[in-house]
Amino acid sequence: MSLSSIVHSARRKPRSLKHQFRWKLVPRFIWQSMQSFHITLLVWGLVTIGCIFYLSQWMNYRQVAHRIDSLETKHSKLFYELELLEVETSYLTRPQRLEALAGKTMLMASPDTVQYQLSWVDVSSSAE
Amino acid sequence: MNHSPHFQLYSFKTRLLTVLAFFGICFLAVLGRVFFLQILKADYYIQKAKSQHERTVTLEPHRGRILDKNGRILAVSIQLKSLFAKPTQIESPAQAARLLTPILKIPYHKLLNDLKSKRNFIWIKRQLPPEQAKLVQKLSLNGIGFIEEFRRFYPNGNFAGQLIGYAGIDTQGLEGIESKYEPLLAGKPAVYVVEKEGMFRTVPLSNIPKKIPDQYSIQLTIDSTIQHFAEKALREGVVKSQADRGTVVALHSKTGAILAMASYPEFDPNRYQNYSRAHHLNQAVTLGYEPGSTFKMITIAAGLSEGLISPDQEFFCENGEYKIGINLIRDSSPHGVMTLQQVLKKSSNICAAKIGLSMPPTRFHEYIMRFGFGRRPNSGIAAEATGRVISPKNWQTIDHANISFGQAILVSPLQMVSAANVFANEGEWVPPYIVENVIDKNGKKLKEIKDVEGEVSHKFGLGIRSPVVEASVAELVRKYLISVTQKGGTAQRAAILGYQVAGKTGTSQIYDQQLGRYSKTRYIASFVGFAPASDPLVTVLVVVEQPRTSHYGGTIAAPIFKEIVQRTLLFKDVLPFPEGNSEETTAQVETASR
Repeated sequence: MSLSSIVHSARRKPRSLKHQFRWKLVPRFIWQSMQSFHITLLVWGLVTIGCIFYLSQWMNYRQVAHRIDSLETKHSKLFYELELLEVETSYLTRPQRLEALAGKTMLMASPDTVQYQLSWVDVSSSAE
Repeated sequence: MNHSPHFQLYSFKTRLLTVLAFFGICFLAVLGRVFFLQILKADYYIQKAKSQHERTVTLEPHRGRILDKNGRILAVSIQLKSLFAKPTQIESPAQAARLLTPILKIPYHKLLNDLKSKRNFIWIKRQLPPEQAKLVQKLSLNGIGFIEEFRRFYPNGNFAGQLIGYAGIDTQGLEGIESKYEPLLAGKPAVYVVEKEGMFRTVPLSNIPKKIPDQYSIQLTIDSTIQHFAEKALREGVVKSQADRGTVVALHSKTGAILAMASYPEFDPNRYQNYSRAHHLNQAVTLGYEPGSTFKMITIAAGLSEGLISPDQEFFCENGEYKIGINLIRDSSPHGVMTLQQVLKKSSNICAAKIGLSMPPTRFHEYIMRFGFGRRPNSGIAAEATGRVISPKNWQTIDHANISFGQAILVSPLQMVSAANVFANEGEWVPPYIVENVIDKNGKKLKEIKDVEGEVSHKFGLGIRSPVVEASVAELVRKYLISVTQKGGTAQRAAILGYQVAGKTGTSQIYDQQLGRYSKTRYIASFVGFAPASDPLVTVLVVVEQPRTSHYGGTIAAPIFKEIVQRTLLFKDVLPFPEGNSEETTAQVETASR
């Protein structure tokens, strides 16, 4: 049985029921289709390709999902490491430590109003 | 073919039906079992199947940070590894204990006992420092593993310890800002489902919640540098005067933002278990003390505002002793006739009492309440005290007189500094506040948070100013306060070269509960003031409790004030003027108020 004859038989419409889909012909259409080696081969080929495609997409999704998961884990680890560094920075640059270091290593004292007074007096007197 | 009679008893049809019946029964049995498994026990087996390949992961929220005004970290949750053991899986407990002891600094025998126990799971040490965790990881011991946990860490140690408060081992806020803003800082745990695969991999089935809602970092108004100035000056001052304790509050005069809030003895929230409960308390808001002479500025402002006294009026100060009923009020040194300015400059209790008594109690009480006493300042700090202001109905004449010079009234340091700040703000009370804004997970700074119904549930930043006295009255009192730090005033030690400083000393006796009267040996020395007086940048209160070298506010608290304010003004680029020129330029102050 050729493909055109099967399609033709499915398309054939009775005169009285022009616009009605004939469900009873569906099993016959399938059965007759299955009689054809080529059509069966085509159908199963398509089904197989579809399955393989679906499987590959599913595998791909899982791979991507897993990769995202591991990247997010890595991101959060890096985030916490960065946070730890920020904490260290905050700890090392706390004002009390900087003041002590400035005094100890650079012999710097905190500013005093007297310093400003002197410099201002100097400038004004030289201008005169 | 053998056709036995017995065999022929049954026809083909009978045999067929028998076989069909047998298969039918089998089929029904299978159907019944399927019904049992699929319908009756469906939920149970669904859960069982899910548990084999699915796992629910709970993401504990990462508690928000507490930052200072400039974004410096004051409190943060860091992820640390906690070491556990499954003793049944450890091959050689002795060897494991020998390797772990030097790293973890746990006694060998204690560790060995734990590792030899028959329990399935034990904690060896929780929240290990990262370097210890790395060393343990390198050992690759069987039956020993890590679980990651968050730990609250305060990188600056005892820096603003009482203000920030602390969080417990499970990072729940227990005190201070940590406790007050627990709902905002803590957030909510998020749950998602993962599928377990071969090779120990997991694949998320439901979306991982990347943004956990309702969790914020909190940015305070505290400036770490000014806080350091305050803490250092307070520490040195308290140690030098051999006092029991002390507290400092510094406000940005114009906005009411709390720039520093220090208490001594200090408190390190990283080791909160090592301190007594008294050390945890933020004295700046919980302490109720009698403000003493610092309160006279309120009395004089109220009198001026009511028109009961005038700037050029003279008062007789009774030469140091004034009797009200059976009670005697004394001045620290006898004074005769004084002007209003001199009353404040010389800090006369008698004249302050006379001014206070000239007002009806209800009016005076009204002014006291307007200055923010007897109610919470609502600054956003935990455990604010209301203080205690006696109802005017219950005022005896002596209470009325005592309140006029700051006795028989309890105020908190924050209330007192806010009240003094009225004279730096043209007679308006500026509400103090501690939270500048909150920062959401996207780094967006928010001044308010709305609830699900769209109504504002939290508001941060500047509050609404309320008028207390007229600007002219505030200006007059400010002039008087400047004279207090000048020659002949009680607070010459608060004067800063090159700046005009306005302020008032306070020395109050502590009420002795056991004796039932004011102690003659225990005092509270205080000083409150602002600078530069012409355009104030910072308003500071210093309270020192039970100093032993002297008990005068002008001797004990004023130098601490001077140290803090001088350093703050220079830090904020408000430059001093040469001697003889006491005015500051507006441009310099504008630069400073950034």
